[in-house]
Amino acid sequence: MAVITKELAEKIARKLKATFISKKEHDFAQIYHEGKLIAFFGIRRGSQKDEGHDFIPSQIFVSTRQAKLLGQCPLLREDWIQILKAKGKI
Amino acid sequence: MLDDRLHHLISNRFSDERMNSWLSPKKCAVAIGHGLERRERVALRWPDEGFLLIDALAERWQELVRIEALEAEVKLLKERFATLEQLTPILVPVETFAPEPYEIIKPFQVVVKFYEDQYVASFFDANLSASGGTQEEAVFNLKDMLIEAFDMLNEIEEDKLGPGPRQQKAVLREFLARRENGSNNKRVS
Repeated sequence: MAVITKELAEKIARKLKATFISKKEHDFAQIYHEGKLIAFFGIRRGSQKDEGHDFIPSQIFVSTRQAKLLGQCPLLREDWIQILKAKGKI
Repeated sequence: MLDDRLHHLISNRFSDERMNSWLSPKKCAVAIGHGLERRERVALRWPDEGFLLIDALAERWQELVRIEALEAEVKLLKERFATLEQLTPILVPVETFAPEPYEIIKPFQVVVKFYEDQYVASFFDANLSASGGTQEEAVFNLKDMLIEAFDMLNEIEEDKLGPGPRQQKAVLREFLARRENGSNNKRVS
């Protein structure tokens, strides 16, 4: 059973205030901070809502647990920004 | 009655506790039925010639038990091997994006591993991955992801990219290029 489902991936995108760009097979969630693209991930179009997207945490530079927390509320976008700053990704 | 006596006798002759537990009267009867040839069964004249036959029966019984144990062990090992085989990451070379109008500047490998009931294909240098129900599907999805991410990043000006995406773009440009049209190899960076 996937930890990060398509449904959760969409929640994470919304939580990070991502803008969506549609390509042929994927919708790309782009996350901007101070006018710069700091991370992005693709959600496969047409996939089932429970289909696995367990690769997303690494693409937004967090652990699976942190990604799950992002999707499920306790972790805020601001917290995530701080994590990225600490990792030198901003 | 004969079965009970057989059981008692065998239990006395073979002190192994496990042997005793296997040799219930019912199992003895089954063993006699299956383990001995008709000729041997006819020859059973209790108790004079019994010991010889009991020894043969016990030997066969031990053999059966050993085979059963080995079969169980082989089954377990097969299952563990299948699990290990599934969990072991594999390297898949990417040499073409055909029929998509992209070319490989430098062949590269992607890693496919099994994770949470699905396969995840990753191109670590570009920090891009995709999943699928099979290894082939995961690689196919990753190839789609790579060319779409390549296009998407090329549409964004360099100074609007943070460190992560800038690095991803640089890596992708090192490995693939878009053809100007589907039929020629002119690169567009």
